[in-house]
Amino acid sequence: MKNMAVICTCILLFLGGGLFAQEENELTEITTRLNELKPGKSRFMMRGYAHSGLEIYENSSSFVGGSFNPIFLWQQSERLLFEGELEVELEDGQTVVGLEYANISYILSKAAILRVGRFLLPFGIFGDRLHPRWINRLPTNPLGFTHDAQVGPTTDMGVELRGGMPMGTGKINYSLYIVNGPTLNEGMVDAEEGGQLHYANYNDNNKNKAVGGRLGILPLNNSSVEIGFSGQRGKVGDTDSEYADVSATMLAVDFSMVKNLTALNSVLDVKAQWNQVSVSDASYISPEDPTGTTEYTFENKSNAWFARAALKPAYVDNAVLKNIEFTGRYSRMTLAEGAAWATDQTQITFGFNYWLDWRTVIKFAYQINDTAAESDHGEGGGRTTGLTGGGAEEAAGGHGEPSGNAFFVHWSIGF
Amino acid sequence: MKALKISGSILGLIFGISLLTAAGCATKGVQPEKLGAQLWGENCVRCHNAPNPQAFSDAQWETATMHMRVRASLTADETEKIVAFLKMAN
Amino acid sequence: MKSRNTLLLMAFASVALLLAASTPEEKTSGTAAGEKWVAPASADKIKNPLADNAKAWKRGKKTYDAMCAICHGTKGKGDGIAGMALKPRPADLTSKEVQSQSDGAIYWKLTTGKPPMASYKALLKDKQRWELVNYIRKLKK
Repeated sequence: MKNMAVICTCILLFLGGGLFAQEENELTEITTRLNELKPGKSRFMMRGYAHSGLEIYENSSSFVGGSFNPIFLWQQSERLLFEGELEVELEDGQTVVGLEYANISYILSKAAILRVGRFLLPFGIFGDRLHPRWINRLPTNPLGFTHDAQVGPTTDMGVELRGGMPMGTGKINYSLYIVNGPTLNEGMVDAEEGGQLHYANYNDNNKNKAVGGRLGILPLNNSSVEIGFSGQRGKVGDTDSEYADVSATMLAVDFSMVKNLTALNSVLDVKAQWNQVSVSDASYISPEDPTGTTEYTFENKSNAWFARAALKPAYVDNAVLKNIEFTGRYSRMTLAEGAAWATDQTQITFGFNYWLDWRTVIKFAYQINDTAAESDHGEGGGRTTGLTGGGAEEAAGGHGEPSGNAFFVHWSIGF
Repeated sequence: MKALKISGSILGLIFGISLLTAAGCATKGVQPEKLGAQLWGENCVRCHNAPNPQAFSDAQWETATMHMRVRASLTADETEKIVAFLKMAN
Repeated sequence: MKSRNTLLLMAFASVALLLAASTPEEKTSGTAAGEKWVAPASADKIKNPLADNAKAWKRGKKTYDAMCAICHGTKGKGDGIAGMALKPRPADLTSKEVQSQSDGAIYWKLTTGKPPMASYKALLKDKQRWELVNYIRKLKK
């Protein structure tokens, strides 16, 4: 009996040991497999956004292919990040690929990040933060904030120092940058465009660099309000030309507020920005004189601003209404009074959005355009009006004619 | 002359910011006491809806949040806490 | 011409909305009919160690304000700003649906989590989680 007990114990111990060994083997295998899946220090990620839709103008309507904007993020280390965005668009039946930005950010310290390359300028908040289609609450960009008619810069090549830090019970953020800056259209090719600025240049036309920056203040502890002040200044004329000393001074003020309105079971999101571009006085060839010998001058100062509100009754009990967001925007653009390309336009856009999830939205909007004062130079003014129609695609409005009023149904997705 | 003035004021601004940074480190505001969940909610909605934490993996969140640290000028402390929250909640 | 466009758009809008409103995603909503988040029966048997502690909810409130209010709202109505686009939406903690659950079930849910609701097992001590349960009881309408 005693022997039996000893033998049994031995067998049990053996089996137990075997089982334990088996568990250990499994654990080793699982650990090995997990290690194989462990992500490396350098990370690659593709994000971006896309949109398309239906646009209905007075005499035409069109489904628009919209655009597809992939953003490539390459994180080399905890301090180094590359970001690059392409814009793939359909334009007049052609696929157009544009480089929105490509830059490298290096985290220098808690409150300072160095950025080099081509980047979105923090000149206000629209270009820097709000333009992606799934973030912009309306299907179109405000007047003066479109690719076709810009009052103030959006992207440029250069170096930037930026960061954010707590201050008191709130926060501040800052950006300081040196970039190529815009170039002046001297009106040599088309006299009607003399005095306009061209932004986002890959090569500078002079030795002078444009210097700018933004200071953002978030006075409240919950980050719900931000007020920003931006400025940029630099020479815009070609070296060795009579415009060599012509410079542009640009200013912007922006406002942002997101507030939970408990009484309305809603969230209110307000964004606003005012841009001003002043180019120092210069004489340009008068477009009225066919011989091209007469010169004229004007006060080269342009303004653009918008205010937009979005009210989302997110906390009501209705399953449809809680995903809806009511939107409205007013924008106005006044281009250099007295210039051949002068214009004064206002635009009201309103509608509603249906959110399928946090980054997928269907937008419905009606847009009313109004051109108040035509330039003294007649035809020239009309031309610019067409360029600045404000339609997202201008598929139907076309260049050269005012876009008039329009309906938009767009869907957009962020990924 | 004007360019000089601008450069001067920008240098002044840099100096001021450095001072503020120093002050920010010295006086511990209310901000540093906040937790990741709250910072995630408050900061993301400044521009877009607060993302579902499930949208990305831990590794992806690190990259995405770093991207937003640069773009939206989040503070270092906020970024760290937001990443920690998203990794926990995904 | 204009009125025809208006009609076209209206029709399109209604169809799109109807389609959108009936997307399957809606069905996963915590409060809507469909799949609900139910704690296992075993959770109901977990005893609340702070059941007789009349002051524990005060510490629970502090934790709640710092970690939960951003989604569930300062008064627990599920109306925090971060929750406005989440699927499912954050639960209304004042609702009968939540309040009718046992202490153990609520404790189990905030311990376990179900994305986008995070698991607070690692972040909060056992005691802190029970304090939260006591505070959630205080939110009852």
